[in-house]
Amino acid sequence: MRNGFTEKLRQSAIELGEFSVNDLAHKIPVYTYKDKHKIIRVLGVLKRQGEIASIRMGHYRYQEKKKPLSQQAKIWRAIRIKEYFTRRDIVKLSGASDVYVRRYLNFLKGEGFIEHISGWGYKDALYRLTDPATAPLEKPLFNSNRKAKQERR
Amino acid sequence: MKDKIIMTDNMGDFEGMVENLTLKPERQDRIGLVYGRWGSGKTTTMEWHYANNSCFYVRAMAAWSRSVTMMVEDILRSYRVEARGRFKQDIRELVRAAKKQRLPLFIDEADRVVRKSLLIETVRDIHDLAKIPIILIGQENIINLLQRRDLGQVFSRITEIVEFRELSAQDIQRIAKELCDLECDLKVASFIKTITLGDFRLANALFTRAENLCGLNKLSEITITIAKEAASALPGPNEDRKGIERKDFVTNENLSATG
Repeated sequence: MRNGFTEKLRQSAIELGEFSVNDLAHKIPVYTYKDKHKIIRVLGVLKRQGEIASIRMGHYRYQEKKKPLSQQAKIWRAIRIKEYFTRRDIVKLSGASDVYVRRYLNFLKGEGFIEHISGWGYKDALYRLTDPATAPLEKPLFNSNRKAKQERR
Repeated sequence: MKDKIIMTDNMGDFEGMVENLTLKPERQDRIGLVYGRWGSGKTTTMEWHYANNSCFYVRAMAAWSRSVTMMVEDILRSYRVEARGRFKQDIRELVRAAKKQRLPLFIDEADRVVRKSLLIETVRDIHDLAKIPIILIGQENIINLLQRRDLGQVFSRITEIVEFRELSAQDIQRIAKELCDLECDLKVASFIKTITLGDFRLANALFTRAENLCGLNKLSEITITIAKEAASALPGPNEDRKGIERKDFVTNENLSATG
């Protein structure tokens, strides 16, 4: 029940953008003082979690919590946008090290997500995404731990 | 030269624009426009942003002007939703998918979208119904195309505009420092800016040569002499003209052959 109220409040906050407690009470809607106090309590929690920021006294703004992308996700997204690429392109776009990019590319090649077309080395080896239309949005998970490798074997 | 992307003034403006659009409340209009000359770094900035942030990207095709269905299918594909091949259902599915993700959608080569009112009106519908930020990226003339009288309702929804200008002297100094580890005087940076017309690709070629020259002469700063020497390797406007003259196909022989 509590989750339901928080979700309602979140949706209203997203739609309003900038708001006061009264605006939220109208939007949800809320008719009793008890529920209004509940709004203030939930606002406090969301503020602590970083979803809501206080602009000035009694006025708030909704700000989406941004999760930073992982290194693998960055590499995968760089591959998806380039479609044809060299290791150098991916290092430039993702900011990851060449060693990490090479290991991840080898994993993707093994799984059949990418193909090696021509050339060798950092600047000249050209790869391509095997099927851009069906390449998954989420990164293919690669566990570089030695333990995981041994388990796979 | 190091393999990394330098945050230029244009990139800073671009990031600021996307941030502003994302932070705006959903009830406000959230269409952004990015335009600029070729070689100003629009596509590189877009690729870098896509790789490092959660968003969706679609490149407009010339064939979109023939069928709106193709545009809807391509955008759906970018959301990894399979199109059913029925326009009405696909549009509804697209709005649902965009609403669910609530992430900005970038449309590259948007000049092609803007030229046909049905396409840009569909984009407007997606923006209004799904309430997501949409960023159009195009060439210089996109702004003129959008100011057409019949597209007033679209132009009024554009709340953030970024123009990609040529590189500034400060950008050139920053590039020299971060990519080549070389100092560059403001006077020299201005000279490089004039020579390369602020084009990123030409500046890149010049810096590669300047870095080699500095390495040979064991210098840690790009001097005006080095910059002039490096600039001599760049293709000049006279060479282009020669190329055009060489391809002069209308000769007396051709004329006599055709009668």
